[in-house]
Amino acid sequence: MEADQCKLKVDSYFMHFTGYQPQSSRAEFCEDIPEVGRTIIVLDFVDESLRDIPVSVNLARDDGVQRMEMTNTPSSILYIPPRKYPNGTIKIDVNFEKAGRYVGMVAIEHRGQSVANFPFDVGRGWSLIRLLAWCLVIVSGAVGTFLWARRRYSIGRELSWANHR
Amino acid sequence: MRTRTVQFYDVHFSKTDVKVNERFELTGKFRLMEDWPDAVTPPDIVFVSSVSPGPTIARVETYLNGEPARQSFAKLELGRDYDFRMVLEGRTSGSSHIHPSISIKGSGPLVGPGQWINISGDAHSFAFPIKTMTGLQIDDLQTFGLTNAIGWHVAWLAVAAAWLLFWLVRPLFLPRWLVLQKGREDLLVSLRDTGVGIIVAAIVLVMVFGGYVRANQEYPYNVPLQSGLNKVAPRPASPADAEVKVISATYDVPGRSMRLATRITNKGSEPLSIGELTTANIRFLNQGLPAAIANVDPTYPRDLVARTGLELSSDTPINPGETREVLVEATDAVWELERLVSFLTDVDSKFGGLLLLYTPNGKRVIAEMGGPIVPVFTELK
Repeated sequence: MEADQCKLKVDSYFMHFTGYQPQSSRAEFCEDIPEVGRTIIVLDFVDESLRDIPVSVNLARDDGVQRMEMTNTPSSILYIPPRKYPNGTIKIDVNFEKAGRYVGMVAIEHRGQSVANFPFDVGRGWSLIRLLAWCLVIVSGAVGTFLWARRRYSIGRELSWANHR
Repeated sequence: MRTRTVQFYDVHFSKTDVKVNERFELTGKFRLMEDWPDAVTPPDIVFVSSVSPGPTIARVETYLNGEPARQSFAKLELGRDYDFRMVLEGRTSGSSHIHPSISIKGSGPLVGPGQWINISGDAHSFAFPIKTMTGLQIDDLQTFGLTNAIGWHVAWLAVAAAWLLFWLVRPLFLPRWLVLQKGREDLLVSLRDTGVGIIVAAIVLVMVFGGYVRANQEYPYNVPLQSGLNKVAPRPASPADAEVKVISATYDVPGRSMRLATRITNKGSEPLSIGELTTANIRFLNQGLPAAIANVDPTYPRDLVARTGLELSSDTPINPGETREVLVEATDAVWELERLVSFLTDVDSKFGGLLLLYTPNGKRVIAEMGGPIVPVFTELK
């Protein structure tokens, strides 16, 4: 866990973030969610003592204007009020209907409230248009390389023929 | 893999707070799983040891089934149990995570449960005195022969550096290659070069043989490094009072929950209650069974004991001769945190573990279990 890239720090405690979209892939996501649709986000408590502390979660659209609040605001798409998780894991089942920038907020109620934010993008994964764009780039590169090589070859042949003459 | 290789149990640390130079014991048992994975080399050559973050402790003695474990052991048997005992000593101050470890040639170390050991005191005051079989008293094994080792290294480095310098100050590759091309090899090695070569060879021989004679005079009695393998019999097999078959097993990936449909047969003469599922050092306890709770050593790492324990579809004892199907559920973040869940990507999606059952008077019966496991997303709507 020391080298964990998907770690989230709240106060002095650590959580491990994992995202799943089992309807489209069996992969685990660490930060951004590639597709819109049903998503399961799991937060595992790395620190044992977090199991005794009430934790709340707020997932909201990041419109860049509104200050993020740890309450159920109009921009929230999911809010889980403070509660304890003796199993050490929070499972968030959420449906992202629109692509865009979102922010997750996790708060712990321990000696006051401490909040951690984890911004992430949704629906900016390997869409069909991006896939086609990349295919176009690769095919263009291959065709360009072929034309360049053919030109070099023909110049070489012409020079060699001129030398013979 | 870790759920199907070595299962440590009854691990006990005699102390968790020690001073520098203070000894403590690490004891326990382990089961080598019958369903050993094909991808892991079998335990044909095994070394019992401890794992610590650097030289924070010194290992003074190690025993496997009561036999000294200075060397590796050959051909440990699958499906059998062994017990170990290590005498360790605090060396550098700080908090160190200490594990028992079984190193298997070809596979590497398989570590047992780790506990934080707080070592206090001054690391400079650490000493490791021993008395050899010839009566030589060594005050501190850490620094014994250090001057000698440094002296020999310096002497050899000096000879090597002089020899290298002798050739480096002369024309190097290209001039020598050109001379070779001209067919004048005779110019490459002069009479002076040959003379210097003979002197250096003589110095090397004198150092080797002189060192050998001096060491023999100083230490006339010595024992070669022990590289042979020991053999040890496993612990006596306990009667197979319970048979556990896994009918189906699933792992709820986002729920961090392993769900097992088991068929348990009581082949003993007393009723049996399910007390614990243990695998890869993680323990799920039936919290309604006092014998299972009492079996948890106070020094066992608390982060490896799942807080909410084991959920069972049937908690009543299984009578002698009875076969019962029981659903067993073990849920905790520890599956993910201990990196035990590779079912999504493994080509060999199998698991293993030990089911601990108890008679009414607290006698423990250990049953090995395991089988294929399927990852699921049960909460998906």
